[in-house]
Amino acid sequence: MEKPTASDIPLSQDISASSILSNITPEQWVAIEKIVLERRAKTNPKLIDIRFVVDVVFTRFFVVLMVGKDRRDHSRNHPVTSLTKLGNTFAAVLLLLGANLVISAFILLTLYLTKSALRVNLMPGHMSEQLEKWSK
Amino acid sequence: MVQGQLPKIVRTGAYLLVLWLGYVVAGRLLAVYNVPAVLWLGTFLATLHLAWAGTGAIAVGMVWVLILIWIAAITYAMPAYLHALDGSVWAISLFKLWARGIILVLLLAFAHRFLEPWHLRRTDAFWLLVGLVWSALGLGALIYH
Repeated sequence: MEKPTASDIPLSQDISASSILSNITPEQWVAIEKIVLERRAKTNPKLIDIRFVVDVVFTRFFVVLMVGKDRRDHSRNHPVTSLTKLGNTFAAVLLLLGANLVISAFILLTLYLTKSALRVNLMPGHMSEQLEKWSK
Repeated sequence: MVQGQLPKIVRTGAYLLVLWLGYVVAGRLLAVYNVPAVLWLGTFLATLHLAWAGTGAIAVGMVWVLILIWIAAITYAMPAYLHALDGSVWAISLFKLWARGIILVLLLAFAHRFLEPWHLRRTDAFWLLVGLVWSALGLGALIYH
């Protein structure tokens, strides 16, 4: 049997609920408050909290990166269809791959230019000459 | 003149002047490195995007700068008037170009904040920035040629 929601309760019963509330003793209030506070997720300052918007011409994404102690309430229920899960996974993989590619390109270029600036020659000639040789 | 208007004009004017001069230098550098037309086009499109989306376009702008510097690194790009350049000097010059590119992306992305006190419509601010940046890039290329 499904639990009734607030809108399912008739007005007459709603009035009786308010009469119950008025009969709650201070000790009972304290106990209720304690239970509610224990159930509520405790807020915790994040170690990393980065939020920004990425505008990719045809649409805008917001990116949130948070790192902190896990005190989340795991009992939250957000039913999603398997198709949504699949779509979310695909989008997440695509985004992570894209970010990975950009970060890798950034690191590789930095390393390559640093190596060149320090006059370290790992191969004879320049990269363009090597690429030309390999392509032949 | 309304009190308080002058500092606002000076702040916005100084920012836009720095932005314009920065892009004049960028236009000259693109011409000095004899950048092909497709990369000019990409740069114009990147500035268009930055002028419209502001800080939201920083990521795409940074990626464009990264692509430009990667192309320069792969092709061993150097100023058209030089035939050879010491490897170390070349690498440092690319680092400098990269840093300038990042600064210019950020300058254009945050330009909207300096235009905010003037309550311009988004399209007006966009055309103002596009006009400013494109004229600077063009002038920079003309100065070199």
